[in-house]
Amino acid sequence: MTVDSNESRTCSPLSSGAVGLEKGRARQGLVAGKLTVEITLYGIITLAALVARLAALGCWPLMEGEAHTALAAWRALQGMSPVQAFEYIPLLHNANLALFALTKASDAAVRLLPAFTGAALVLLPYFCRDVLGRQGSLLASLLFAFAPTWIFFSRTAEGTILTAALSAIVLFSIHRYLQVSDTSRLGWAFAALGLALTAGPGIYTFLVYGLLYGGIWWLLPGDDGSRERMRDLFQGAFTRRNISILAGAFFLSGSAFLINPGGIGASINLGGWWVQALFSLNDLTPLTLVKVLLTYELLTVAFALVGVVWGLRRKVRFIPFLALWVAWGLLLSVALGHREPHWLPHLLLPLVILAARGFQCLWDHLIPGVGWIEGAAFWMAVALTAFGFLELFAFTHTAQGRYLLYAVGGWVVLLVGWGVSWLWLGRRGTLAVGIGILMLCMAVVTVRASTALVYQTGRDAREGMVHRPVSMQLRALERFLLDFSNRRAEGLRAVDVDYEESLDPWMSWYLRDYPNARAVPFGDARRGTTVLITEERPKEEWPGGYVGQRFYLRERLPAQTLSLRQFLRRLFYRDAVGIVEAKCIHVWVRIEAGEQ
Amino acid sequence: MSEEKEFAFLDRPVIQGRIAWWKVLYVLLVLFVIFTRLWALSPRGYSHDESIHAWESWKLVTGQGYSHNPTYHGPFLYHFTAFIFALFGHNDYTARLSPALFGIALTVMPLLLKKWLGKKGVLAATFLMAISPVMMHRSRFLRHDVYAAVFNLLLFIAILRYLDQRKDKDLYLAAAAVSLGFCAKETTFITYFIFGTFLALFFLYRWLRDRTCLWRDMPVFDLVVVIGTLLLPLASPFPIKMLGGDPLDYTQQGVLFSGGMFLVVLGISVAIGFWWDWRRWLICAGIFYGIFVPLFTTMFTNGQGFATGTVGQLGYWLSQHGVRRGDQPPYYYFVLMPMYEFLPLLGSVGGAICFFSKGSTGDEGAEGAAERTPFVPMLLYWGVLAFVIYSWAGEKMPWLTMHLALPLQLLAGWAIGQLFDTDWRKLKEKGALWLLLLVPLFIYVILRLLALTPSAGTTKQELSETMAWLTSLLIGLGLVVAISRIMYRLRHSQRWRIVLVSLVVLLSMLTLRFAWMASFINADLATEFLVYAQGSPDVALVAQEIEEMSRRLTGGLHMKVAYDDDASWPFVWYLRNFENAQFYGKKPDAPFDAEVVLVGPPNESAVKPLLGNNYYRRQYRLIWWPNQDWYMDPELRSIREGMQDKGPMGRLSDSFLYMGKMLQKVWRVVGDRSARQSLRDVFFYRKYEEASLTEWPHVHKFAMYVRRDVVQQLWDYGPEALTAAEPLPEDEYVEKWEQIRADSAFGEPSWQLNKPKDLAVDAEGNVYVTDAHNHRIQVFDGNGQFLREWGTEGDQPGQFKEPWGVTVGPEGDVYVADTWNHRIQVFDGQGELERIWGTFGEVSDPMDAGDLLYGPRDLVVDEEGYLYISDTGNKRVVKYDPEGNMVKAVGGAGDKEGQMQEPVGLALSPEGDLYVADTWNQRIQVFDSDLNFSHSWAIHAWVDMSVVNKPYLAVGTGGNVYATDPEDHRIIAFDSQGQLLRVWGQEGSDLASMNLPTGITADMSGHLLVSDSGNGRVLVFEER
Repeated sequence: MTVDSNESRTCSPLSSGAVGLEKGRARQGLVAGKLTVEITLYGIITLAALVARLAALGCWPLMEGEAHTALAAWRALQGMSPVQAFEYIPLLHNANLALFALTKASDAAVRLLPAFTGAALVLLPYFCRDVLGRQGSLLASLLFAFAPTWIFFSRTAEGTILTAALSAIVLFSIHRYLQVSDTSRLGWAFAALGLALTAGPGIYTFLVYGLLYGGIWWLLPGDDGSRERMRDLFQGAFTRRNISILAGAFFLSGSAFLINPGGIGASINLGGWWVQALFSLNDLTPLTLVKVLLTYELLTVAFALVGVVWGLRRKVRFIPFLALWVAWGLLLSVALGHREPHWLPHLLLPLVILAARGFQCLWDHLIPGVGWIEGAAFWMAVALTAFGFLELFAFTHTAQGRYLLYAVGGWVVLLVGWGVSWLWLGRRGTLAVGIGILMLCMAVVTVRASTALVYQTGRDAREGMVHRPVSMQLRALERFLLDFSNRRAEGLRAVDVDYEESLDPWMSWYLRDYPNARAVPFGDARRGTTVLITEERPKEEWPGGYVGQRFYLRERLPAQTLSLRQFLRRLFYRDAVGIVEAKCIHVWVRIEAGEQ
Repeated sequence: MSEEKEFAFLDRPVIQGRIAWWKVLYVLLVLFVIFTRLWALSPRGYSHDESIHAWESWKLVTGQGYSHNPTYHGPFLYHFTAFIFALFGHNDYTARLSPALFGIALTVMPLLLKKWLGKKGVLAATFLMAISPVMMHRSRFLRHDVYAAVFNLLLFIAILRYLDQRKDKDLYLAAAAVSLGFCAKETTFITYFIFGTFLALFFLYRWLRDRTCLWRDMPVFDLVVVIGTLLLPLASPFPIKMLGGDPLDYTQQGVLFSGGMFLVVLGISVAIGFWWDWRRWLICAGIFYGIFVPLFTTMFTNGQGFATGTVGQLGYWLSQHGVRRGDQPPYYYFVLMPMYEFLPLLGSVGGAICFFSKGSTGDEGAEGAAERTPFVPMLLYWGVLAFVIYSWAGEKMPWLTMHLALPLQLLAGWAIGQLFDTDWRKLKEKGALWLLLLVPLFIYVILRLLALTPSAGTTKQELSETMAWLTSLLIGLGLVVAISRIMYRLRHSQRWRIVLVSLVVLLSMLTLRFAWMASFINADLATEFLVYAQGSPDVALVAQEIEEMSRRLTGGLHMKVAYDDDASWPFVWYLRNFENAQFYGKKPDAPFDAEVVLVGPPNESAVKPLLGNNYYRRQYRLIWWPNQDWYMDPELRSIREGMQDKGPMGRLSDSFLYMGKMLQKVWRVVGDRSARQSLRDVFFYRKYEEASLTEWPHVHKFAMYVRRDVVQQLWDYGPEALTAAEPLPEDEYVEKWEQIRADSAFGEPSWQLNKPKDLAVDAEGNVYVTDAHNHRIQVFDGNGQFLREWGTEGDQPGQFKEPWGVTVGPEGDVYVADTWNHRIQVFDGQGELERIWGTFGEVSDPMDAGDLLYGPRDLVVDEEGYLYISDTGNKRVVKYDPEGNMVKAVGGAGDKEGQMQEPVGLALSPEGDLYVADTWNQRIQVFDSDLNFSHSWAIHAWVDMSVVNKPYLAVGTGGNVYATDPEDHRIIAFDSQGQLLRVWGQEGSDLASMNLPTGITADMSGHLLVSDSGNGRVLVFEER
């Protein structure tokens, strides 16, 4: 993974591996001990990322995987065994255990570790500036902070962000080792790997790819001594110390420092989970993950393409490694069963690194050509682009084709103007304006998607990133039960509730503070129980003497084709286009004598 | 940019050497500002104006367009808010995010004045803006003032910088600020008038002082020319008015006159600019119009915006001067400013005294800068003139206080900076810092002594008051001793300084209290004077409840909510996402079916009969206004109103009378204990003796009606839960529903047909479809292959405006109901126009003129060539002979036999019976060929009164009657007597589903053709 020292000097010199690293250090030395603009920017981005992750962290009800892990930790704290022995994430379970003991079990507390991990990930590019370039690192930091996938999974307690972050640490530790041959770097890598093996099945995507790539490298060596370097890496890596670190991290993390030995089994089960998911048949199409990627991460993909083209043209060695990693991820999702959105970060991680390189390259090439004329041209281009979008919006609203025509017309004029200015003003400045406009458009779409996912439509089945979400009506159910308990049972959560076992993990989680709540098989409810919660059943099975309300539990979006207008309305406004199917539950309340 | 430069930027230290205390304080202040501007933006109810602004911005971003309208001020707000919506989505928080961001920017901007304010002055000005009640409240409020304030301050900064350094970039910044200011709000004219006159005076002063200096060598001359020439064309309404024109006259003649005048003034500006420096002027004008034109024309989508922007906006507000909206008195700001902005007010007075006594100096030895740039004089001029002009202007509103407060805060910031500019270590050594605590305490004790009355009597209460007075006196005396001892150790100037600083500390705390109250506690309560035409907290609660009910009931925002014209604002904003929200004006034409109905007091008596006993009623407060009665004295008002009709001398004498009466009333308050206490209650607690919030006199209410069956389903929403066990009515059509797939469909992909309505089949089996939103007729063969089309949008013969109905006569003539051209057009089979009749008209009697049509929706022709038309808006069916002469009509509003509400679909049986879809009466009426009523049957459908829920009818080959049910996405089949046979269809786009099925017809070979309007296609079913 070393960087070819023959790569172009037209891009940032800091990109050229060890040479760049030394230069970078020299420059850092100039401002050592001072708070520079660069550090301040990283600080602001990280702080903003943290705020974005922590704000309303508990607003969405827990998804199934989240609820399993949360419930397992809560039950462990109460001295009970988990409902499902192995269906939880050990690392998260441990963190939850500690948080629940220190504070209180809540939806927000469950997600704290992913949120902090996601915010910490934002800082990682700072330490990789020699590889990514300084502006490229800032972009990577911004993407980690605000791109939809990263922010969404930072607020989801599924272990996805943990494995992605730990994969990144493993990767950059090995890279550092290869650069400076400092074996202590590998210690970090093994510790991260040990933790990652307890953090989610996603780590196997990276691990298997690393082994495959290493194997190919070993079997098909070039004439540049790569086999020798491989041998060095192998010998440096698999020392007794490093293996001890790996094993120690794995066992301690898996067993919650030996408090929960069952966690080792759950950790090992993650591998089985990964393999099982490869061959599982679900209702997702082969291109599901690709669609999600293109819907949400167009900005990253666009810059990554630039990075790939640049890297391949310059024959930078780590670019094929990253590109093949992306291909590996695509292979798993398209040809095999890793199609659910939580596999996306492992596909996206190499793309972010590529995007950072691509952005750095564009920056180095284009920014020197920018002056006030480009500024004026940019403003004019913004106005024309806005014209096109306004016409497009009019089309989505009215369905009148003429607006579509006007929009296209506006953009054609823009394109023609751009072409003329290419000839007139020269290549660099014009290119900068064009790329600037494209970036602006993609950035707007990206920010819109992030905001929607995080704060507005995070439990809407229409969001491709959210697979089979639980309904927001669970919140209404919580409120209802609390109010009802206060009114009827004259005590906070004192009401007696019987709920069907099949409604777990949600009911056990959300009714955990109701001392008189219990899970029962269908039909086994206590006589005269005040509240019954059942799956939606036909009328003839409704309990007598009760009145019921329906609440949505889970939602899914059946396959349906959207028209162009519907697609645009969804893209721009997150409008509720298409029909969502819901699985409902019934909440039955016993009618008291006076009410009948 | 070279690499070295880039790295130099990223490596530039943010803090050099030691951490400067003022930077830390500044950062803390900025964090405070960010918190107070962004926190809890959404819970407050939307005010009338805010909801309009948010709604217009939402319309812009959702493709419904925006056209600049001077009534609603400049376009910047709408564009920026729409952009925020595009980025973050539209909701109650994001709508207020844009002013909040500008509010933050406004508070940060004094940093750019560091050269003149000094470090301490920057801190003080930022602090004053940060804690200012006006700035805090208005930065969290979606109005145009905060944008205008930012751009005005930007121009102020650009002027100072240019005067100081004379760099072209500052001139260009000024041009941008001038343009953005105009795009924000018309108050900019006032501010720029103030700046312009000041610069002109300053130029005259400098020129008269240094007579050797050439005009062109003076930077102030450049500014006068640039700002003046950019401003001049927009001031063309003045000459237009002076020459007898009307800037708001949009007739051809008026536009020509105004446009001509504008061009003349523009020509003069261009000439002056070219005479001055053509190159720099062109750049300035380019920047100015480069911002102005795209924003006023809504990114080139509204050409008229250029005219309304250049001439209309000032013209409109000149005309509004005489309207005096709100009817506030001339001393309005003299009441409001001391209530909220007493610290900047007093600070500015101190600043003026300080300036005239010792002159202006900045922090960093900027005496040269002070000489070149008249910072303090300009602020003084700005502050005083703003007070005068805004008090003179016809419209006085609480949001305008922002424009008065801004210069005062800067000036007070400068003065406080000067005050703090001393050696604090020496003062500390002398124990003077204790005074910062003791002096405010002493002032409090004095106020307490004034408020209490000793020896008033011997009751327990009076004795206790006497005791409290004596204790306060003792504490006061102790404080006097302590303060005197410290004062004794200080020099004279130090004494004054420390006392003033103590006052600043005290007043700052008070200001912060009022700001917090206004922004977070009373933000939507009418007890606050900054609140005006504000939606009460009930509005937000009701909106939230409606949304929750809808989500629970329908899984989304599909619930029907009807609202009238009285409760429309701010509910238009809150209900924007409800796809079934219905605006019914003053009164609907038929009983309601909406789950929730909102109605204001003026319409309630008319609406109630249509609600029946199907609804529960709850009453809420919609919008309220502050209680201004306590300072708007009726006697003073009558004097002021009397002035309007008097001559100059009469006005002068009335002015003296007015002032005298005002002083007399002020004195009365000072002298009367209970009046003083009332004043204190109002000032400190916003409490009124005569009015509590539950019985507020200045409130407009509304009622929310919730349908009973909804409450039955959602019984946790209120006390109506007791009825929960009542059974709910069921849809009787459900049992007869069948899954039936269409044999085929044509017209797809969707752009071939855009909202098709009716269809008809000729003798050869060709199908004629009214392609309503494409304003044309399309013809297909029996297999759905396109044959031909005719018609475009317009009102010329052969053109259409949303044609709905079509039928084919026995001779093959094609009759089209050209609905919104209010006429019937007849074509031959190839689309050649043969004849045309009808014009818009409302009829009171159905037999009135047959050529007066109000939205004809459907038509049929019998075998003898007689034509029947459903004249929907006129609530009648009209019969014409083959020549187009009216033969007979039936209908008239009502629900009796033969009367109709919204007749739409028509169909003829082979026997000549006419079936009429009497939509809002929810029935099908049957007439014989002479339009005599035969019988009718009820339809349990067509409940929604939306513009697309218009059912059509067809009679099949076996005599069965088919009716479309558009919004339930189904077809209903009856036998000829009205017996229900079957129902089919569901929402969707496959062959078993439909989206707004509208037109329906049967062909000779046993097929039913249905226009699936929402899916843009025609479905072909086998008739059963």
